[in-house]
Amino acid sequence: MSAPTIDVLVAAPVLAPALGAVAALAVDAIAPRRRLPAPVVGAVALTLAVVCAVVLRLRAHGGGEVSTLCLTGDPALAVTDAPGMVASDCLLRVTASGALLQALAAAAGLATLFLLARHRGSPPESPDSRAGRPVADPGVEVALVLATVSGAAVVAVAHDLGTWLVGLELATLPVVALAVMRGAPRDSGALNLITTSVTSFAIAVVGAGLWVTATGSLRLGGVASWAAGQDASMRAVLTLGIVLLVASVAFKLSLIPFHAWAPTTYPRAGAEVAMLLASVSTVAALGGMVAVVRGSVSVHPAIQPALSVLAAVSMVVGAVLALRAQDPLRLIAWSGVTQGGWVLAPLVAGDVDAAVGYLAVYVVAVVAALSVVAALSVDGPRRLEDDRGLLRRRPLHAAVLGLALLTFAGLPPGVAGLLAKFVVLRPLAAQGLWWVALPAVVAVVIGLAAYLRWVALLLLPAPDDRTPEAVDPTATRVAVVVGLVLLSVTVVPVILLGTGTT
Amino acid sequence: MIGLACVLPLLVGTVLLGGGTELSGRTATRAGVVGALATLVLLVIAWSTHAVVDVPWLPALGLRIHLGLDGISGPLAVLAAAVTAAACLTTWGERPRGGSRATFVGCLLITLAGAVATFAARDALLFVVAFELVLVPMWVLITRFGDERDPQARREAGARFVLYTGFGSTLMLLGVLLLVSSAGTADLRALGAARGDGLGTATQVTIAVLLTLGLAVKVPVWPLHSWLPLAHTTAPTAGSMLLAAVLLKMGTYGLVRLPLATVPDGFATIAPVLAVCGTVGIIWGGLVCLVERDLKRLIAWSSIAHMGFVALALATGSDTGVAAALYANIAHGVISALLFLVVGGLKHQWGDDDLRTPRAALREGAPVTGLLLLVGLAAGLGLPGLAGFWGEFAAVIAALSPAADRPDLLFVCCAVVAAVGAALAAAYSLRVARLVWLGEGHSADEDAPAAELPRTNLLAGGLLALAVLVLGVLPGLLLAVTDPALVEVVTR
Repeated sequence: MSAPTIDVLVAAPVLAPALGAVAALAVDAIAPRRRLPAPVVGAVALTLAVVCAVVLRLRAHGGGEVSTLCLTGDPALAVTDAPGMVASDCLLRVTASGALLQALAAAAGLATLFLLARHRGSPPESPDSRAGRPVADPGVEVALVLATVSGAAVVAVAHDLGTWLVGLELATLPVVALAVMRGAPRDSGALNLITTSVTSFAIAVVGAGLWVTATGSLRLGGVASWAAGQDASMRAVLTLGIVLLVASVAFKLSLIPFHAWAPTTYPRAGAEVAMLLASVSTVAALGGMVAVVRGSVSVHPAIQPALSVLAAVSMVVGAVLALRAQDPLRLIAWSGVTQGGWVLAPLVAGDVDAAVGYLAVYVVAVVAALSVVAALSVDGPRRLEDDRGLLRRRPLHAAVLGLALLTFAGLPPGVAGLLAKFVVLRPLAAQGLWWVALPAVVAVVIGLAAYLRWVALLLLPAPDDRTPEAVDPTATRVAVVVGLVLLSVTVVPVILLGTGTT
Repeated sequence: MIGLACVLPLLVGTVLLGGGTELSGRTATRAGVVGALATLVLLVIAWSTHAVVDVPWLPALGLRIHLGLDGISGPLAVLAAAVTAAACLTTWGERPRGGSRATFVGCLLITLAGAVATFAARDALLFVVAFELVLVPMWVLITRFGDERDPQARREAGARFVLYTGFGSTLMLLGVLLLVSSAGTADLRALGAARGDGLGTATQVTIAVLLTLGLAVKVPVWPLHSWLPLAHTTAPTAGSMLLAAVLLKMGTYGLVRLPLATVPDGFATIAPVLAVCGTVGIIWGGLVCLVERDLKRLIAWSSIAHMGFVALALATGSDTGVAAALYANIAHGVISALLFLVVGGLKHQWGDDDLRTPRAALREGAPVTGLLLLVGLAAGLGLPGLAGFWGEFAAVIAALSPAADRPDLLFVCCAVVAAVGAALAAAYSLRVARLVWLGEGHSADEDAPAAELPRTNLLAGGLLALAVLVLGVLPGLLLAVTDPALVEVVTR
């Protein structure tokens, strides 16, 4: 067995953030507590990752795969030959949708990095919150963000259990540290996060064990599970393993009933950490879910009901609870629950591209919304009621926020969100999966009510003539850039929703 | 050219929204009227030259920007532009309350853009996108500029409007997606030409149910109508005009283009239900109008009755029926725009529109306003010689001899009941005329005589009244345009 070769371009979306994290720490060691150098290093690394991921996406266009790190003949990856399927021995295999996930993770990481590099972070929600705490340690923070991105980029292209597990955890654990550094001093929400992470990791490990028992391989894919799916006794073990793997990822995607951490963590950890959780961690979670669903082809009929219930319940209940939220971060957390259901829905029909496309639109919109929230929360955490009449006081912020919310709701001018809903509902309608499609209709209506409640506040005039609130310039710039991306997706939706089966 | 007709109002609307309070009200009204009229001209040119735009938009879905007008969509698009121009004109004399006039006019124009795109769309998926485009501007018009007496009711009316129609359009979206994925194309003309060939009966019925249910919310067909009276009561005059003359038309147009043309067999299966619902709507609306105390809501209820005729005519599936439905559709658009213009103006003038308060007679104090109201009411009750007559008359005739695959007896019963409903229309129209035009119960020396509406409103109203007359006297004008296009949608 020869040593595997590595194609640097293919591995770049993973390697660049990882090396960038090391470099950021090194820079911080050389010039301690300087505010500028580490974020610059991080930004360069992430930009490189975005560019490489886009190049890979173009190269993998048309259903192809670009792969590297191939371990030919490795016994741990041995599988029984499956008819009609070709086993690839490569650890990193980039498809067009995988590359899109990588690009999203890196771009969202970049946005978070800009927010974190500001003079003062947005203060979290707590009784004794000190407005505008100084940034704890720029080098460490940058390294943590980059590690998260690197983890998400690995999960998106991983095809074996080892890489998958490491990537999934790498995409979550650094966020815990960030929540501790950024969150409210007494209760940063980090405890919730770490409990969730450990639980989901435990479940994932048991699931992985069952998977290996059933398939005899570390490979995560339809090829590996084919043989086990043909044998009745092995099929039960395999199904249980897959259900556990799905459950562990459902924690990260904050699907009901694994969602409890999200609405408590988001407000306490502050807008920046919430952004990292809502974007990069969610990308990693979907990457993980896609790999599991691809691996479950042979037992798809047994898994389908579980996925359907998760998707339908999350979509509807998340939207209902979003209706009652009183502050922006909680609303976005609940909306994350319902959007998680939407992301999962096309996977019930086995349509990976639809799930990735929907997630792409969601991530751009949530980054836009959260950067507006971060820009406005200069003087402390906000409540929804504070946004009353924002359109008159701060038209730019209100416009970006409104566009993002309407994208969540799937109403023009948020055309990207509407088209994303088309993409998700198409496989459901085509395959007659009405028990997912009809709850989706209900979820759309409840979601409209939830998001329009906030949009209405932006529009309606405030009773008193308030002075325009102070805004943070960096966060405003990020918000405007992301808002422009959202607008351009409206005109050219192919950017995010391009990979299609037809 | 047709692309320009969609983009122009969108552009003008966006600029007005962006301008907000910076722009003076007068400039906004002027820009709105000119924008809507320019759209009208562009539409006429595009329609007469058969201009078509066809560019791919989202290949993954097979979604294309495919726009073009024909005999069915052309009149509706022109109507939308004309009514929007009239609606913008009313903002001259009747300042919108609750926000800047530029925002108000901007919302009107974006609604127009959505409506034109809906009518012109030749791609089923693009149709859904355009259909949803009108939701947010109309919601803003209701929630922000609506009746200022009760903010709570305003929010509720706006929310109910968005939630009902959002529910409808999502159901419709499911139907369209199923249709497109089972037929393999999203081109509405190709779908219409195929007439559902190659789709199983169960699929056809599922598609027809989803599409009809979704669109029936927008029309609205009884029992999915409950958002309409609330929205109309609250919406400002211009908003009501657009709601009645443009948004409701999108629903009926969708019914013709989607279930009727693409899955005729499935639609035939559910047509009896639609016919019965339409007929119930006629009676229901008529009865409510007899006792309704709120003038604007009364007109809204009468809309439900009129749309009942359209639904019944569509359900017959015959040549005459569909032609009648399209005719009644356009006629109702013009008549209701006229009525809402007058009634909304009166409500603005009076401060409220409770019919129990005796009002000074329009006949004496404001003859022109009174005449416009009378024309609208007379057309609404289906007086021969005015626009309302032909559509509803033909609808009843069509219901007496429905297409071959429909149950005769049921449709004949519906026709009889609908004829009774037409008599109800006479009763409530006369009630309104008595109370408002004659000023019954009002003693002449109590206070000032009734005042005319602002001149700009009278001008807009006069043009609409003229259209009512022309459509009534010369129905052939419109029929000559729609008839050739009917071949595409009706199974002969």
